[in-house]
Amino acid sequence: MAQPVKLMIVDDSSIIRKLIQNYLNEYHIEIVGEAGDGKSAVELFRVLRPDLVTMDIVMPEMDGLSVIDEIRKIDPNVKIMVVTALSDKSTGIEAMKRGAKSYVVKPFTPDKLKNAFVKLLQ
Amino acid sequence: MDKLMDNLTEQFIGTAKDLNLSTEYLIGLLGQVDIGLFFLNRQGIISGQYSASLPQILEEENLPDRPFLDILDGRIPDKALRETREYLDLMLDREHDEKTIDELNPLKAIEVFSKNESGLWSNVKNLCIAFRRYNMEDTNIALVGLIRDHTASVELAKKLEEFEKWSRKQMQWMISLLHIDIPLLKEFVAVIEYELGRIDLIIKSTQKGAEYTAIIPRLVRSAYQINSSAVILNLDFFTRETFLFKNEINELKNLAEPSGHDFVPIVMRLGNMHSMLKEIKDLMKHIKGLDHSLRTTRRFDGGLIIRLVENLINHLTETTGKKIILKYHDFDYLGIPFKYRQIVKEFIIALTRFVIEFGIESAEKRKSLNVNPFATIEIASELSNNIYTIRFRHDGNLIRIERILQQAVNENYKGTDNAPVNDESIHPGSEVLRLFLNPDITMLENRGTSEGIEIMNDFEIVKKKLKIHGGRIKVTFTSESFCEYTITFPVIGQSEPPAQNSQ
Amino acid sequence: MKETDLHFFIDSTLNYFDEVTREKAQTGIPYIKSQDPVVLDYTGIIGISGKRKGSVYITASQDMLINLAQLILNQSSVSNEDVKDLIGEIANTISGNVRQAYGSDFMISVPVVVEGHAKDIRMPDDVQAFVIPITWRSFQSFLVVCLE
Repeated sequence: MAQPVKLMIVDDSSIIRKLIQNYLNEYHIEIVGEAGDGKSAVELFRVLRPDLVTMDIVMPEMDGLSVIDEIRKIDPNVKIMVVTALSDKSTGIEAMKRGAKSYVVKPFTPDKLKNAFVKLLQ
Repeated sequence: MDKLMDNLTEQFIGTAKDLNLSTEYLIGLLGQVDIGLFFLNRQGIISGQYSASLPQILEEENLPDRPFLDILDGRIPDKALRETREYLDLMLDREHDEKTIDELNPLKAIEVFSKNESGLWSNVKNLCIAFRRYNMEDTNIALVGLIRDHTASVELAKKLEEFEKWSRKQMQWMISLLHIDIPLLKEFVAVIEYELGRIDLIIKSTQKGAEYTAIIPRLVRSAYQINSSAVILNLDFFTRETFLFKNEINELKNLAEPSGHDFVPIVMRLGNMHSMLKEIKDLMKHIKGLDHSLRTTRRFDGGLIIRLVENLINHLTETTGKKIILKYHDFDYLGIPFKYRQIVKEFIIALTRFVIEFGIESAEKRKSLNVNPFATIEIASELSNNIYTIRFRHDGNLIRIERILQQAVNENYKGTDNAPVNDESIHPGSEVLRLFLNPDITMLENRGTSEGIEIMNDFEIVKKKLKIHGGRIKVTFTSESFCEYTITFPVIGQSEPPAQNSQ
Repeated sequence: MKETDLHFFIDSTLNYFDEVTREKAQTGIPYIKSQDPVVLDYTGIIGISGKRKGSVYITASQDMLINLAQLILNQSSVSNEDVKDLIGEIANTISGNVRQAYGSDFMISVPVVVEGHAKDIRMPDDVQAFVIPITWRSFQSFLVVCLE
């Protein structure tokens, strides 16, 4: 059996972290870690080296775009799905330029998140 | 060999001393300058040496070895950050002329944001950040950065501009207010405050969708009162706002099922009127005599009534194309009993509106009928046999009201009326008018234009008040000559007014 | 503040409940905030900076937030931390979504959550604040917007 996808969830909202976990549970994944702020996210990433990261943008300590820069320095191949309330195009473009491969705007339905996740894995 | 070693050691110690001195000198220098001075290497990372004021200007403590762009990330708009990155790339590339690229610096005048203790964005600084290439070889320094904090001067310039704008507005408003007598102004403020408060309460307490349509007539009524009050006093700056407010409420009436969304324009307009009222009250504090008692002399107040009517006529004739001359030489304003002052004022104003809307033709129409295009309204008064009488006469011939009310009379006639019936052949609509003026009869069934309905609403209220005071209304026609409304009050047995302030 | 500002926030609020709960919320008639406090059990506050400055907060009852959290998480019981987290997340999402209209110059802060019936949430004195009543299921909450 293939190895599960190692997933790390980064969001300052515990509800969102639980939600992402609940919605993606049906897939062959392993939640290896969660972080509630940008600095912890970078430190955790360094240790856990997940395959995929869901990333919020507005967070304490360090914002998500900066975290993307840092973790891509550690592993340029990591797949990043930005999950944020910031719905303006320029933020989306900036995230993609920094290396995110997917962008989901909150509030999201289960289908919206799942579709983005599946596309990211393909 | 030993001698060579000693020489070299001496040289080395000397150079190290010089280096230390230079470093100390640099540190001293950097400690003195009150601008942010720093150095970036080719990777855009801040070196360990920078001026003492830099952390304070940038509101960042740990600066050495941090990318300069990271400091700005999240604190300036993303677009500016992108452009800064591109600009710095160009600056680090010596192929490009420095002076030319300098035009592309997006940080020449930039707002940089900081967070407060609660983590909320609060502070903003206006900074000027400039870069110069460092042209010394064999060094890791690529760019010299200079930051100046212009926050104070930018704030001052902004404040000055705002203050100028505000002063100009205040002057214009003050000029408008100075033309208005103080008691009228006070009354105006009281009316507007009351009506705005009423609307606020209606809106706040109406949160069920089903009730939205039901509150619209109440909003219409208040909007009308607000607009009328501003119109009478000729307060253009206020009537502009109230006119738009009335229109927005009227638009709501056209919606079958208004939602909370649909009230947004009205709420914003309300907000504007609240602000304007606050400013008017602030201005009134500067108008002399406001601290005196509200009570005025009869002479003063009587003159006010005429000025109100004149203002009203001027406004209504502008919008209706009617031309009217006001005569009041037989109006004895000294004779108005104190107790009736308010109701007389309300009656005359309501009747003026009523007559101009329904009783007087346009100048063109009058010309076509070979009548003086200028209609006349004449107000007179007398006191005899303990009866105080106000006569309001006009020479218009347009009783449009019968078209609106005739059907109401046929369908909805309520109340009792034992007065003898006028002969309709003498003056069409006179019977209707007589019925309309009867305080015991309500003839409104939501007919006619909204402006017309509000005018009749006013009249309904005045009728009732008149009845409370024991007053009576009579209307008299002479064939195509004039129409006269008479109200009478009993004066006998009424208490004398309290002592008046002399003017 | 302009009409369009209120419309953006109203639309963002309605969209939030629609997307998250699949049940429509209603917004009532907005009104100007007076001196009377508009504070319920939990309040999530977002600071706004950039081209527009001000704050936005959403305040809701514990019952509503518990109901909402249970629905979102598909759990029969939720913790106090979940409830506090949720009000902050709602404020963050509503404000963040408004950026679609305002662009990236509309900068929002991390949410600050106030628990318990505070005296009132302090707003700038010289800027009018508007209250948008929200009804979801039978619960009432309020979104208060104060923008220059």
